[in-house]
Amino acid sequence: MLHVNVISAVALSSAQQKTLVTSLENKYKGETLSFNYRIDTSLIAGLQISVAGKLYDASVNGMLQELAKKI
Amino acid sequence: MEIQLAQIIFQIVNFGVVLAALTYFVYKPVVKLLDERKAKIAQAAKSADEIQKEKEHIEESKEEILRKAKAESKKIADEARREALSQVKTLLDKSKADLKAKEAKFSTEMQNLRKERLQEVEQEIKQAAFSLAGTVLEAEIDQKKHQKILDTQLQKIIESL
Repeated sequence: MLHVNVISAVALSSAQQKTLVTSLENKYKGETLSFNYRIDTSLIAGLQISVAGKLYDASVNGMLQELAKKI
Repeated sequence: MEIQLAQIIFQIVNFGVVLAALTYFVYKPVVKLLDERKAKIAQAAKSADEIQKEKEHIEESKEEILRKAKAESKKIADEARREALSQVKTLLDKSKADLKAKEAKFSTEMQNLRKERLQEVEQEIKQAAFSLAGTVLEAEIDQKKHQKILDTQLQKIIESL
């Protein structure tokens, strides 16, 4: 079973959750996925997803941190 | 008074005998004694001359030895002075080199410290700026914008899967 942690600044809508689940099930065919949703306002906006040891950061806070590193 | 020849001859013979005896027993020993004494005096004078010459030679040797000793002591003193000066110069050079190295090290450390401090300040300013930017963005983003951003970012993640 693969655990999928979804952290977002605000709660994902049902449609957004469905889109995410479908995409991940297509990506990890044959695997059982377990989704865990959490809200963290420090992300400012956007979301972070960690699955199978990979972190996908698409939060505004992450972008700002990345920008700070580049500067 | 008549002059008697026999008496005269007797007197002459007698005088001759006395003269011969005196010559043999007195004059010759005295002359011999005088010669010996003269020889002794000459020997003594010669010895005195030799002693004088020896003394002069010793004096000259003494002067020579003293002169050499003075020259040697001067040479030793000069060498010691030169050696001391050389050691002092070496120590001074080493001290200068040490000082220069320490100055360079200090300068480098100061530059590094300044650089580190500048980096820290720069980092602090960046953090403050981004924190402020985050706060401003947080205040500006309403629910509608949140959802729009979520849609956009979710799409990006899906594309990168």
